[in-house]
Amino acid sequence: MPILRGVTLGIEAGETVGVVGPSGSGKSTLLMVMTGLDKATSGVVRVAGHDFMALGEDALARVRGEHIGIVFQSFHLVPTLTALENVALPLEFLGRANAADRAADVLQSVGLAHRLSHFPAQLSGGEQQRVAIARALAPNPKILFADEPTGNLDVRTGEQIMDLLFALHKRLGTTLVLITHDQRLAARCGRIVTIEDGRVDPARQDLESVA
Amino acid sequence: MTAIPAAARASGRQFALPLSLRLALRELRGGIGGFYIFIACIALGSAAIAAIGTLSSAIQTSIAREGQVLLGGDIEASLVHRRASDAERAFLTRQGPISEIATLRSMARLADGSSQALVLVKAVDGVYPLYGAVALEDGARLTDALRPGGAAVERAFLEQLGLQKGDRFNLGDASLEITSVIASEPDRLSAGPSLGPRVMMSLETLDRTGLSQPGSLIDWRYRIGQTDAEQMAAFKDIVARELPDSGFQVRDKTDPSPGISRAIDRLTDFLTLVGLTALLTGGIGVANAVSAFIERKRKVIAIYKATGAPRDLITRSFLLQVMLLAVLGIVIGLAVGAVLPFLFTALYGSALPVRLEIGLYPGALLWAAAYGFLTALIFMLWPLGRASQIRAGELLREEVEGKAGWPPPLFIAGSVGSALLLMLTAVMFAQDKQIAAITLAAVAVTFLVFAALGQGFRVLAGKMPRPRRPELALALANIAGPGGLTRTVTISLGTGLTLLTAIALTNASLTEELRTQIPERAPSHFFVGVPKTAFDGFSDLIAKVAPGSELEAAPMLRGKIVSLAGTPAAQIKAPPQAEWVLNGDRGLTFSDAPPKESQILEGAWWPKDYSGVPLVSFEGELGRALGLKIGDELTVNVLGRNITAKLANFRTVRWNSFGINFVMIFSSNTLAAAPYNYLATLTWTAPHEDKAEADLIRTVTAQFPNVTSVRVRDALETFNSLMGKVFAAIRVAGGLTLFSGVLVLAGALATARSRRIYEAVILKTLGAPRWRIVAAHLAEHLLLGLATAMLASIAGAVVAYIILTQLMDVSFHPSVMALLQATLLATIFMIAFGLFGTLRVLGAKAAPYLRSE
Repeated sequence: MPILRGVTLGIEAGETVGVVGPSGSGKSTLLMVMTGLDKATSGVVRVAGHDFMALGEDALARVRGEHIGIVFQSFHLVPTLTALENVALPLEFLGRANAADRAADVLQSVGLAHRLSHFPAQLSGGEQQRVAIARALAPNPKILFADEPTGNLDVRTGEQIMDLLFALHKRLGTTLVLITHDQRLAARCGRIVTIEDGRVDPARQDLESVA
Repeated sequence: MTAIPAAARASGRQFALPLSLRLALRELRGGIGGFYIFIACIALGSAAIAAIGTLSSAIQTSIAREGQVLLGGDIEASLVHRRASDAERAFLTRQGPISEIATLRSMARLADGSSQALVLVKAVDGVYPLYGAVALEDGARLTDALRPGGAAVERAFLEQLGLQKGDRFNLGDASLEITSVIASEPDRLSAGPSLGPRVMMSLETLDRTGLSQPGSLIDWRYRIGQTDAEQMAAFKDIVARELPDSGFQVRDKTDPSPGISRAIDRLTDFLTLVGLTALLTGGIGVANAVSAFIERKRKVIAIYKATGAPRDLITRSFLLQVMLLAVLGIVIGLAVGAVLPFLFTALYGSALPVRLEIGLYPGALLWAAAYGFLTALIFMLWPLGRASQIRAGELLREEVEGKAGWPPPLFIAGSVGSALLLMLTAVMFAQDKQIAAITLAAVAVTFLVFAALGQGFRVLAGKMPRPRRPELALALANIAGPGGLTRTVTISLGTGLTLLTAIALTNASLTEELRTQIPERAPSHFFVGVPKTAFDGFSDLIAKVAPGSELEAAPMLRGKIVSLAGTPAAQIKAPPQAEWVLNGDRGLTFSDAPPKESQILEGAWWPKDYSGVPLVSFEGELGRALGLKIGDELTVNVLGRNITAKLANFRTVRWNSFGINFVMIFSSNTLAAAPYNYLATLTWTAPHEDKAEADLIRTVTAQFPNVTSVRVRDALETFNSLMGKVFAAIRVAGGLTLFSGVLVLAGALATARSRRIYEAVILKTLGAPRWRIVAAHLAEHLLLGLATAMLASIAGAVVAYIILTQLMDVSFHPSVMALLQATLLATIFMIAFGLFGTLRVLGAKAAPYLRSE
């Protein structure tokens, strides 16, 4: 049974886009297709100049490492690695020489310079998400996907995380795609895409961003 | 777009190691929980193989180190039946200082003729021993103790005949005085295992006994001091060149007791194979642990993928992690294996004929490491291959356990390749390649059979109608369900139980054979050295004292094979089962007619009163194994003469009749002129009392002091006790396989624990009292254990049957105890594990399992 049906969606460099929709609408599947974590059965997927439909698993991993950062709802940090090592991980996968120094700098920029050698279990939820954001941004990706990034956080921490995401977007100019069911969060984006029953509703895109 | 700036500073934060190793080490930093069983499984098998190898190397090295003392010289040249001629003696003396000794079996009798004992006589010259020293209990000098008419004896001799130092006894025609008691004899080992205690005397005293007659079965040994290694190595060739017909049998200090060396090699081989079985059984634990590990790491693997890690980097890093743990297991195993022999020596060292100097034997440890590593590879690669199939998308969706598909071809190839390499190595370096190959094939088949049983049992449990009792229904559901223990239990426990059952049944059958079967069909006495001139008198005497008995006799000489079909014996590469024919001297006989029980397999028997070229009949299986063909020429050396005969026929020999059996029977014209004696057997055909046996021996020994009589039951008893010791060692090694299986089981139960708790919590929520949960678990474990035990008993019986009837030519005697042992052990293990696991499950708190993440 197809989950996404006839989705056409273009996102310009530097944009901030909020993807909203009820649970089961296909938000996560859309994210998986856009990040190359899953393949669409048919159609065209082009991200950062790469034809995702034509790439194999390892090539997709490489593109992800270089151009795409992902922030998950439940952080998904490697529990056995320190904050610094978690952030250095994608840089190491890319073979960057100064991975550790670079990771330390990025952690400093998310306000965690004092937490470098802590393990995920020793960090609060908000701090863990900051590490996850730092990890996603460490290789200087062109696009940052954030899947319900505040879903597992309390309201105040959630707001701080959103502030951080938008501040970093402003500072770095990274394209930001925010997947959320929270209309209020989506409203902070430049454009809102509503997905329902596997279809993007073009009529409701700009309208909601104005509202 | 501006990037987050890199601070211009040298922090010294450097990752120096390769990325895959770095990732592996970081993961391991979190501890090795979940890998204890993995490590234990590898350590156990490696330890067993390392310990066996170290001990065996230590024994061999110690024998070689003390070779000079154990052999009693640097070189020993020996003759059977005859003393060296003057010319031969002159030749030997030219090689270095020599010492002459004679060894023989004889009957020592009390002066009043009331009792007698089979003894091992050793007559020595004044130079003996060339190396080492004989210790006497009273501290006397050997030359004093061995004064003419005196004998030094072992304490066992005194006990057997109720004698004391200073008493007299008769040997042959002489009356001897016990002058001293032997505390230790340096060259005792080179004589091999013996049936009687030692009686030592001078050569002059031996002359007085009259035991040294033409044709009597005496080994004359000449020990030579020759410390020059080159000269020593060349000695055999020099003898062959200068004294081609002498029939000297030569050995040197590098292998003072070839028989014992061979026995140790065989036992080492066999125990190593059993150790390897334990290691392979532990392999199931390795596979389970790696599977569980990959399952635990699904999320981490998905995160790696999501953050851009290529597939091979991930698999490489996980392979490294598991390899590092395997190396840890091997290192622990080698350490334990290297230390165990020290313990063994401390406990049993005094019972060994040589002082063991245990040290590090890198060769033995290397073998154990190689076996450990290959086993780890066989069992880890398969489940590791699944790591590469985990998808990053799992991070966004809660995926249940991945489908257990086939791992990538490279991993399958690696696993299968390691298995083949292991088999090849084990077979290539075994003394008996056939037995090694059969054993490994049997292990593989056992694994497959029990894997199939596990699968079959699951299917069966799934198809059974649902029992009304909920506990039973739950037990069946657990056996049939996915992720259950069924297959692990059947394979891990099944292999160990099969092996133990097979060992127990083989042992029981051999014991039964030795205790009751052989004595029933074997003669009850052997008489060695009945002089041909006195044979009629001897048989008349037997007819008189043992009326209800049957006497069989054959002329016997001993000689050694010099060449077969023109190839010198030393150059013949005999298969293991036929090696013994060429080692040392063999009994030879001659006859006009084939033995009653023999069948001619090929060729024909010679006519009565045949007088043509010398002919010989050879035992068929051995002859063919040695590559002989009818018409080939065969040369034996008898009494310093080379005799060549033509192979006339192959015939069967019923070895297990324990009667008079010869490998070679010559045509009468070949040997009849030689000074031979008779070998005779006596079989009681009518019921008789023990007293009649004792009377018989006493009378025979009194009237024929040169005749040695051996009671078959005593010989079998000696052999049985030796076999008991060997089987004790085999059983310990076999027990390791079961222990390995138990470890695997413990690991599997630990892995299943959280699922079990979850299940128990749900049952409790639904109102199940605790006893129901306990009953369900017990029923499941018992059903599994008993089914496995039943099949293991059958499989063990099949293995034992094949070993006994095909390899050993012994009939199979089922033993209820040996068969029940598997069931009993399985029941105990399963109940113990089941209860322990269930109690832990019942003790767990419900809340954390019911709260969602």
